[in-house]
Amino acid sequence: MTSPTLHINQLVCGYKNPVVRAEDFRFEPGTCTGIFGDNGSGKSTFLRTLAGLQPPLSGSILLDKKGLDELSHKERARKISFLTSQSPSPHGLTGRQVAAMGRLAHTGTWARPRKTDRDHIDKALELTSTLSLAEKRMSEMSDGERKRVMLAQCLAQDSQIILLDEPFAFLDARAKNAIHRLLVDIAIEQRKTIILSTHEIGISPPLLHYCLLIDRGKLHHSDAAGVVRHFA
Amino acid sequence: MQRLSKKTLLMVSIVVIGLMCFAGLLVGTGSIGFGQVWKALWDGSDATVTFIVRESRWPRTMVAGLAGAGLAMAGLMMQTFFKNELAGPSVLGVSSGASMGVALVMLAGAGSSWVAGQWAVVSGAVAGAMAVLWLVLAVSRIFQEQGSLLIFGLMLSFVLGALVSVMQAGAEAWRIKSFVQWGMGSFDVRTGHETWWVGGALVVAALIALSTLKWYNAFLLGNENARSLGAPLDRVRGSMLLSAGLLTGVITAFCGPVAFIGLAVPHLARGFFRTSDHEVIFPSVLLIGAAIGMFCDLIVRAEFFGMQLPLNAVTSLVGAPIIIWVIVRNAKMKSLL
Repeated sequence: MTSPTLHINQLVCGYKNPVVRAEDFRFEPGTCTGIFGDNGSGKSTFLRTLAGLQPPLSGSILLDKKGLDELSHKERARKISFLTSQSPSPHGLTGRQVAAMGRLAHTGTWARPRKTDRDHIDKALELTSTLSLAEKRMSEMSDGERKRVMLAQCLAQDSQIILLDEPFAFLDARAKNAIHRLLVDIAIEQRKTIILSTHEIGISPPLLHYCLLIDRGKLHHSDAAGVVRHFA
Repeated sequence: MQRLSKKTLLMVSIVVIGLMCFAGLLVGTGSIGFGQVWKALWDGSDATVTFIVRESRWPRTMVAGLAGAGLAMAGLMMQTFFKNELAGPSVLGVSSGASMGVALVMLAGAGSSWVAGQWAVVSGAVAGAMAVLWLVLAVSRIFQEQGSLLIFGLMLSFVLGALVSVMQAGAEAWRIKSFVQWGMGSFDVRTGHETWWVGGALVVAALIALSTLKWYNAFLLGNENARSLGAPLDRVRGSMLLSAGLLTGVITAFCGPVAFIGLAVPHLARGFFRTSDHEVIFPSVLLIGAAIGMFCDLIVRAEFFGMQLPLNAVTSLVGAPIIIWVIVRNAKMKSLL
């Protein structure tokens, strides 16, 4: 089985007015790509469009030559997971319950987990060091702990493409490093396609395979030096 | 340990419902002893007692339980939908919408025969409830603050209430009397019909909700998150609103705008089970709602002060302290929703 490549072509993202244009980009399995840009430059809009949560104004998004808009909700969720930048707080749910939602696209009407589902949940909790939070309620967690649980949910989804909007927000320096290295490892070892947006121009560019920069409404190829120069 | 206590609480609520059912057959106007009721259930030797127990008290108890469960479920759907603990049929104006529909039928006068009238009242109530739900939904997209939405719902209730009193002012005396009586709320039913109507609405609404229940927890994480997990958002939201509107409409048509049960019961369920996981909360809301409905009806039938108290007064007296307890508790610790 060949892993799908994410291919975008002449994409224009935005709500009513175009915010970001991206001409021709391919995201291959086994790579971790960072999207950089000023506040309000459209990083979230771009990722939401790739995640299929917002229709593009024009252009195409192909998943292994199949249009993203041709997939059902569930099919899409099995192929693409998305960590939003918001920190939700469903107070009465435990860490495990939240992480387990990553399997909803894989289970039937009654959401009965099979063994593979439980294995994915356990593994996601372990990778994100949230096993100790499994029985803790979201209301009792810190912002950083909640973020890690949401990341566990994202990984439990076991999708080929993983999109993360500001995954390092709320994390302390050590957790930032650990999570970043984890994401790169996952991309390489599990042949996933990871795309993340971040403001961490210090720690992030050296770890990433590719750096893209949104500048004046356009997505460009860049590199660590280019990103630093942009923000200088 | 936690699983055991859930099971225990489930058993307790089933036993409580059973006891309420039996108490429902015992309590009422005219002193009928335990032995007589028991006999009336199994053989019909005493015709009068048998009639009272089987044709009056039993359907009334059933309607109280079914309507209690239905209103509680409508409340849960609305609280999850709006991600707001203070949402409920009687808060966001949905009951008022149903009342408006009923007022149009009862006061403006549609349908002279009883059956046609019944259909008209039910359709009016369901249409009114749905209309308000869609209006509140449309407005909820404008308001970022949930507090504003509640105020909007409250204002909508006042406006609809005002329109209803304008209609009352212009209606004939007998129509006003029956409308006012209806407005006080009652689980007292004249025929066995109501049991089927309310029971049917409850089953249909529960099936609609169950078809999308697995996504409700994800819904608590926000729309964006639920969608990226694969939730068919429009279908999930539609099924929540449809089941809430159907239940509120049908129950309001037969029992009047019953206050507080829909608002209070989900809080009791979350408080008892210490979770907002719908897999636990959904069934427990139905059970607790049934028990509370029958309990409130028992208080009505116990005839304090030598008369049957209005149902709405009883549900408010039972429900309001629960809401106050929730607000006080939330001031001390974070909510569960």
